[in-house]
This record gives sequence, structure tokens and C-alpha cells, in this order.
Amino acid sequence: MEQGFRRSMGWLHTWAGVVLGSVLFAVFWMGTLSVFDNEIDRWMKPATRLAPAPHGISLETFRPSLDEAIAAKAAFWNIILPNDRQPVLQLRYKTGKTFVSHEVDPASGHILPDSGTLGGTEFIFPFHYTLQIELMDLGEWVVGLAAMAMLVLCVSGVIIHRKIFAEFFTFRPYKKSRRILLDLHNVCGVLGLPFHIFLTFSGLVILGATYFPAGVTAVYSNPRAYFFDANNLSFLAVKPDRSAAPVVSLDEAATRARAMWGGDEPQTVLVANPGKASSRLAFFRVNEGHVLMDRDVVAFSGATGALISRSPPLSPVIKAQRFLSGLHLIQFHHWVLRWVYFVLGMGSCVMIATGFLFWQESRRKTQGNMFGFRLVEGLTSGSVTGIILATLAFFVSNRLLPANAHWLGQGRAALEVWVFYTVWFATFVHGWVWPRTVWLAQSAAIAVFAGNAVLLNWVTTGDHPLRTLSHRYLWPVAGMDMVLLVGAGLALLATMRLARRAGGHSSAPRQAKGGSVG
Amino acid sequence: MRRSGLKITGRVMLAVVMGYFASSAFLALLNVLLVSMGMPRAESVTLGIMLTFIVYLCLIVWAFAARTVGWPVVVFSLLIVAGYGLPFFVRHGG
Repeated sequence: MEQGFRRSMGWLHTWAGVVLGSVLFAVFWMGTLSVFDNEIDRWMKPATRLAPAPHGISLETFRPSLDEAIAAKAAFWNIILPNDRQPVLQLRYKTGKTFVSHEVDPASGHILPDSGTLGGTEFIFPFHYTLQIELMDLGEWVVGLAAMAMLVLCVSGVIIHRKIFAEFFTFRPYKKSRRILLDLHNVCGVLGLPFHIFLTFSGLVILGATYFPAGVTAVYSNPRAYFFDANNLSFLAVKPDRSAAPVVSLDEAATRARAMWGGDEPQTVLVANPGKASSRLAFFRVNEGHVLMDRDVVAFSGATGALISRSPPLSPVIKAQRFLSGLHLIQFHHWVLRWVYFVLGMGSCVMIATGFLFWQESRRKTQGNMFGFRLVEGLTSGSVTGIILATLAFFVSNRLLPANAHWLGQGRAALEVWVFYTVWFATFVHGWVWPRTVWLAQSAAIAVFAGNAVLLNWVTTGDHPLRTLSHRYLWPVAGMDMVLLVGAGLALLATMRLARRAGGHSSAPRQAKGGSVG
Repeated sequence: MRRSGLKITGRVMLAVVMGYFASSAFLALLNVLLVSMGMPRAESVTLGIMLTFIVYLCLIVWAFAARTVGWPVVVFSLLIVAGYGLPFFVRHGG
């Protein structure tokens, strides 16, 4: 393509970045927030800010819900038990195509009122890998393409750097802005390189069977068979039958499962085909102690209580795959590592954003009037500060909308999502119309929104930072408030610097001569 | 620096689309091979998927790095023909 390997890799790095950078930023931003998805849920669902309940909840307490599921001819019913990050117990069943889901206070056994939000686990986390585009799984495929581009960017980025170890320690904040951008891009890129590669690769592997169905269909008659086989869920593949049979005692079966695991607790209790003679009662072991997601399942016949199956020990290949998915999904219990993930994720976001900005700064002089340049310039602010602002608007609307808000046929949870998209769209329009001042204005808006989110949380729930810091069970809320405050502070700093530069700008024209890449 | 848009589109299509189907074909071939050598199916598919992303990555980089597109086109086409032709000769497992 270009003459020479390094030049062609430089070309690839530039254009893969410019074309898919917006999607990558959205994916990394939402992924970074998903590190704390349960904590965001606590912040957005004040009713679930509960002190940890004493251990030993009787599963039979939830028999009425199971009976309700049986009456509704549910395909399955499950309980997700509370853990260190999730104080509430979740009950869920599926009838037809609709999910019925309740959050339960484990101390009292009462069902909590509907929280009216999708929160971190149901909006931010799915956005991370589907972009919330459900049409023909288009979102997943776009994310997959962007993830492959990310791997290409990592490889080509390493190749085009002549002095990769020198870049390790090079950051020259006193130099020209274009140089700062490139230094920042390199520092985040090089220091975080193992993180970028592992997280991108493991993310692809998690959805691997979706992206490469040909591998599955080469040796299986259908994808479901592979899924059951690889996850030891073959006990679910039973012929449906109509004869009714009650489900045996949940507590008794749980005791047997615990005994088989040497005392480990179940995390999830599943009843498939509840109320039928062919029903299955399965217990999934907690997985907090290690990175590898072993998904150890013990399955009983729901009608007789007879043991059907227990997951066999994992083979090395499956273990490798489960380690990768565990590394990505961070279900293990380790707060320090969780914060490391968060910081590295933010580093990835900085890397993507500075890559974009460097591209612009090195072309502003020579191509400033070309349509392509204007297009990227208009898209960049919306994809970087815009999505941050939209997320903050999502949080603010969560605190502002009344409990049973309903407008234009949309429920409260849907309205929050509409706020997110409306604000996001508006930031693109803003960036397109006022490209010169957009960064200043949106940074200022981020500072205002983030600060107000903390204030609104205080006003609407009474949980101010001092109170949340002094109660261990409110630390998730305190953590979110702290991050919002730090973010507001950083945005304010950025605003002030941008304002100063805009003030004394024209006297010192920036030197911009053809970039080193592209 | 200027190249015709057609040439660039061609490279991108070669890397992304043909590369995808070639990797997919590689995966199918690998699975049939591993299973016929006695590896359990779930393991061969899981291993294959992990390897395929790396193969795809290499194919993309190659497609952009090659001075002329001749060799990549030939290799990709051979892989696709082999991988997608195979099911007509090998019977599926259950």
C-alpha cells in the first residue's frame, strides 16, 4: 500500500483510529463505567442502599414468587442472591417474551418498589457491548468491528513507534499543545498497552461464538448445543412435557449443593420449566474467590430432587477461555484491582480522545477548510465530551424525574434513556455549529452537571458525602459522588485552561506542519 | 499521499470482509481437523475461536501491509473455498 511497512502501518493507524474512534470511545467509556455498574445502581436506586443482611436467607421464603411464575407458565424462574456488591436479592422469571423482575430486601423479604431506572447494570453495561442497537444484533457487530480495529491499532501503534521505551517516560506538558497531545497519547497507549490488548481480546472471545458462528456450525448441529456443552448446561436440554409436578424443597436441595461444594454458597438458583415433571433445579456456585469463572453447576430434578448432573472439572482449553472472560467481566472480589481497572479504562479513554485531537491539530492549518476535516471535527466533541455529558444527564435525570414519571407513553426508565440520547444528539449539533468553542462549552457543562449530580443526590435522598463516607454500606454511593466531584474538578480545570488559551490565543499562532503519522 | 478511493475501498474490503470469511473458514477447517483427531467438540470450538481472532488480526495487517494485493487475494480465496466447501464432504456431528 504505502511504500514500506512502517508507513503503511502509520496510514492504517491513522485511518482506523479516525473512522472507528467514536465507537471505540463509547465502548471504552461505558466499559470503564461498567467496572462499577453495581455501585452506579446503588446511586441510581436509592431504595436499594441497604445494610448487608444477616446470612442464611431461607429460599422457601420465595415460594410465593415461584408459584406465581408457575401460574404464569414461565420458562424459568431464578433467584440471584445478594453479595458484597449487591445488597438486594433479585427474583426474575420469564413468561413469553417478557421478563418479570423484582428486587427484594433480604432482611425483611419484602419486594422493593420498582426503581424506575435501568441503572448501571441494565443500561450502561449493555451499552458497552451492544451500543443499545438491537436491530439484527447490529450493535454487537459494530462493537466487534471496533474491537478488531482496536487490536489493529495496538499492533500498528507499536510498529510506528521508533522509540517505544523512551515514550514510556516522555511527557512534556510545557511544550506545544500538539506535542502534549501526542505525548499523552503515547504515555496512555504504552503504559496501558497490556490492558488494551487483553481487555479487547477477551471481550472478543466472550462474544466469539456470535462473531464466528462458522466454527460452531462446523461441528455442531446448532449453536445452542455448543452453548450447553461448553457451559455444562446440558441438563436444560429436556423434552418439554405437560404433566404438572410441584418443585421440591429449595432449601433442602441447596443444602445438598453446599455439601457437594465443601460449604460454598450458591450465587444463583434456577428453576427451568417450573411446575412441570421435567423441571430442573440448578445451583450456580459463587465465583468471588478467583478470576477464572468456573460456573460450577449442580442440577437436580425439580420434581423428585434426584441429582441430575454436576459440572466436571474444566479442561485446560476451557479454563483458558474462562480465565479470559473472568479477566474481562471482573466478577471476582477485589476492590483495589477494581479501581485499577477503572483507572486503566479511563487511560484508554484519554488515549482515544488524544489520538483524535492530535489528528485534528496536525491538520488544522493545512486542511482546516476541507469537508472531511470539518466532519471529524464536528464528530469528535460529540463522541468525547458529548457522551460524558449525556451520561451525566442520565444521572441527573435519574434524580430529577418524579417516581412515577410518565410522558408520551414512556415510563420513567425509558425517559431517562431518552434524556441520554437527546443530550448526546444535542452535543453533536453543538459541535457541528460552533466547532471553535465547543470544547470550552462542553467542559464547563460537564463540570456543572457532575457537581449538580452530587448535590441532587444529597437533596433527594439525604445521603451527603459525609454521611455516605461514614457508613460502610453507603461507600458505593460515596465512591460515585467522589468520582463525580473529581470529574467536575478536572472539567473545571480544563475549562479554565481552555478559556485562558482562547483569551490570549491569536497572539501565538501554533506551529502546525504535516504530522509524523498519516 | 493521494490514492484513488477505489483502491482504498478495495483494500478495506479485502482486509475486513474477505479476511473475515477467510478466518471463519480457517476456524471451520481447524475444528473439523481437531474433532477428527479426537478432541472434544466444546474444547475444539473454544480453542478455535480464541485462535481465530489472532488469525483475523494477522490477515488484516497483512492485507494492508502487502505491496500488491495479489498474494493476499489468492490465499484468502483458497481458505474460503476450502473452509466453506468442506461441509459438503464432511458430515455434521449431532
